Amino acid sequence: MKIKLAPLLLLLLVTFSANSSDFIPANQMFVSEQYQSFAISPDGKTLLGKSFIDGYQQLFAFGAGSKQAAEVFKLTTTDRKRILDYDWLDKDTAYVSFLGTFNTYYIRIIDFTFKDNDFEIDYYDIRGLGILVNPMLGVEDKALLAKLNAKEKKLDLLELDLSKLRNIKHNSKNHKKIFSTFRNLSEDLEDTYKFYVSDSTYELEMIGQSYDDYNTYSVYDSKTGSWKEFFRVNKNTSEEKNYSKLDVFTPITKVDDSHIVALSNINRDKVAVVLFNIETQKDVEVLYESEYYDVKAATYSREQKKLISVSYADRGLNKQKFLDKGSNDFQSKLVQKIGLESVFIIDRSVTGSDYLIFAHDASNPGRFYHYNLANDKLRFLQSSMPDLYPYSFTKADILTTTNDLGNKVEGFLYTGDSSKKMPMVVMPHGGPIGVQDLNEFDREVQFLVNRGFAVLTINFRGSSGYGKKYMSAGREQFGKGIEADIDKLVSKAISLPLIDSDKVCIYGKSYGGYSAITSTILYPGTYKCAISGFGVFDLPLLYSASNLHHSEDVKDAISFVVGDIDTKYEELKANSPLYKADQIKVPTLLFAGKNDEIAHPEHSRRLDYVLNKIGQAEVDYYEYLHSGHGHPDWAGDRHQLITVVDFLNKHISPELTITKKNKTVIAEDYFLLGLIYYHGYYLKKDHDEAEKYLRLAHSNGSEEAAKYLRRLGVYDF
Amino acid sequence: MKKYAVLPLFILLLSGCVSKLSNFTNDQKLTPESNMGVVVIAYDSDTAIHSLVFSGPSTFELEHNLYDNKHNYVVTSFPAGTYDITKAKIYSKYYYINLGSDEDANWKINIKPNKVNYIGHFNIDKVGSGYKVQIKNSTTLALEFLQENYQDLITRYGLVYSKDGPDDEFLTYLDSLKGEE
Repeated sequence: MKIKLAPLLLLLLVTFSANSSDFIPANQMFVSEQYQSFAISPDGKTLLGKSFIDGYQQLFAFGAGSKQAAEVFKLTTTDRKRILDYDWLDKDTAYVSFLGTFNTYYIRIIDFTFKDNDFEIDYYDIRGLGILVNPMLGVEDKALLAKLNAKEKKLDLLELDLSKLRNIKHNSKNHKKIFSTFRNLSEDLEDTYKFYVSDSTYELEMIGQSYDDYNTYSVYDSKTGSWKEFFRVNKNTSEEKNYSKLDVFTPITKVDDSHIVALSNINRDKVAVVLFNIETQKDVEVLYESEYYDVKAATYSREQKKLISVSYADRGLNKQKFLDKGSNDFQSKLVQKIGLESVFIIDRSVTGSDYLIFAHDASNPGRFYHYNLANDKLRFLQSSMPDLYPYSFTKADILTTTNDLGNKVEGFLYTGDSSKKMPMVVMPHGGPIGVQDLNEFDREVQFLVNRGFAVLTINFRGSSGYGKKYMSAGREQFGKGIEADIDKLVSKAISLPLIDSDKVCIYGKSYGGYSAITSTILYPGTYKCAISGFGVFDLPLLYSASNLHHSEDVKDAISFVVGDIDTKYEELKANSPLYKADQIKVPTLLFAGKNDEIAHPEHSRRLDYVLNKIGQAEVDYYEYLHSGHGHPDWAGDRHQLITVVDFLNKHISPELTITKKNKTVIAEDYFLLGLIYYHGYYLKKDHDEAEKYLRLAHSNGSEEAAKYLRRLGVYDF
Repeated sequence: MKKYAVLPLFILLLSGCVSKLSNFTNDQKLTPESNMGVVVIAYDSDTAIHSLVFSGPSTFELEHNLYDNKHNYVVTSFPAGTYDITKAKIYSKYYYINLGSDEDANWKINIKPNKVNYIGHFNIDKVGSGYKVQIKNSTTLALEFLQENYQDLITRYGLVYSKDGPDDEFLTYLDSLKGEE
């Protein structure tokens, strides 16, 4: 069945822009990226894009020079339905892996027929969970797909033959029959979960296997015709002397029968790109290592026998760095043309003629471009969040300090373009181990800056990206070195003329929530208020939050970060803000998720209970009914951030002139809160709270709020 | 964190030596004998719980009959001692999930005499074709419930957290705050 496609307008027209002082409504900021990714066909002539608009995930296709796109796949996002992966299999065939109705996984094959400047599609669905491993572009109608083998709890690597799937009656029986004829490249291998395939022969040459107690990597030895294990790590790492939880070892590609290229920090501090000898099981050459940062990704050409690019967060900004001069110059040219700091080549045609570019930085959530080499033409495709186009966002200034261990501590201070002294919100990140704050677009940070607050984020000891020693230095530092690092950078920030040192609050989530409350105890003069989302406040409770926390694996994981409860109980208690609640003197705002299995809401309930009992610090507590360690959809974030801004305005209000336009946005925000309480969505239905926020919305100009007030029987507004 | 997911099993015969416990209503003056402990548990589940089976000095089956529609707590009494929650019967008396302590999940409780023993919020979530079963420590919720409904009981006997496992000194801490008042 050929389907003629209705055209969609690809490019949105920008018709207005906002002043930098214009508030952004919470329901425009806290939304998903509308345009999420693009892929280019092997011949460079057709592009596929993925969007998320009005509750639908959608794939659309368009010619490389066309301004009109056509929808080729659409999925509502109710009941967890979602697109898992998509790509081109050849110049006129694409695939989509998705979770569809009744929690069932499907693979859709889409055949394109191009005619003049138009195309039609035909498609069929196959039941099963599969992800493309290699499109086998050199072989017609073949592709390698990793497909879940639920019975054996492994992934199978199947060589699809699309010619066998076309022109059949598509049903489960026929699919099963035809799939049984496909070559299974991993048939005799157990517990396979990761495949590395040769780009020239399309043979399987390296695998990752996951067993109950350990993971391994093996290469295929063509001389002996057998698989040779070259790396093993026990999952119960306490028994493994040569491997720690902070070690990284990720193979990138096989180079020859004796060597692979891998990302590794084993026996070194920073994650580097290394040439690894599989016989001696040791690095033989460091291909790239940064002095300051962990490498996060790399590309290596086997043909050229050289490293092509590496990626790492350079002063908080993820960057792709090309190692040959030509590519590097090309990238510099793109950076200059686009005007954003971080430019990634995300796809290219096989011919090398066409590139897909994604560019972003802290002031921009991202823009997609198509570049044609022959014409030297860079064409803007779409912004990832086009609705935010009218607003301006801010980049951070890098602040650094040296901590007591002699480590450089990096932080990012966002101040916008205010010339007046600004109140500041310090935002310690979660973790605390293995998480990194980036100098990239962050909805919460930009929302707070937009509402008049400077924001400081800090990569304190324990943060990832700065090497293993730095990460390890954050272990068992709850209420100690981590907060000292934060304080040191906060002191530096508040000495700046733009920051109003009398108006500083601290707001964090997860570990950041712990740190926020703890910092007010350790540094009592610094903060005027504290906010915690999904925080932990009773460290021994981490071990007794549920009976499942009593298992050795869970205890081991918690003690690695927090400290051993059997030997350090008193220390854990002493570093718990709950048990020092009488020292919490500032207004405190707490958020928790009823279904949070990481920071159980009991932590926040306890602190709320005790602070109310002691009665010396004002405390507000919100327990979200459907949230876990975060919110299942954006409505929760909107409630949380509007409430945060309200709370900050009460305690460290910025000096802003509220324009008529901004009053409308404030009305919109309050109206949203009013509806949450009115309907009992996210929080318990509460008509008093609903009335309070609807009145505020109405007083700021919302006529819609008046309607709901009347429904509540309120007429005196 | 490992998930504890098991499939429900069908049983044909019930063991004959299980004593059934009932809830104490709010109106009753609960005065357990000296070797007994008052036991408080809450059911917090997306799956209908019929009853829990406790095995220890004796074997008890605690049916999930809410005494009113306002809350999900059961208040009863056991002889003091250490018990395992061995079975969670779901939907009806015929289907159960086998529990029992193992390396991944500790189902022991230690009932102290002459105390109000809160043992946790018993939680079953359906995960795929199995269930994730756990007993969560929500002491604050239990405390607030008891203060509202059984203030006399906790004043007379004192509330303790009786789930086996690492110490939890929250209630002791609250007592110390009372002393400072």
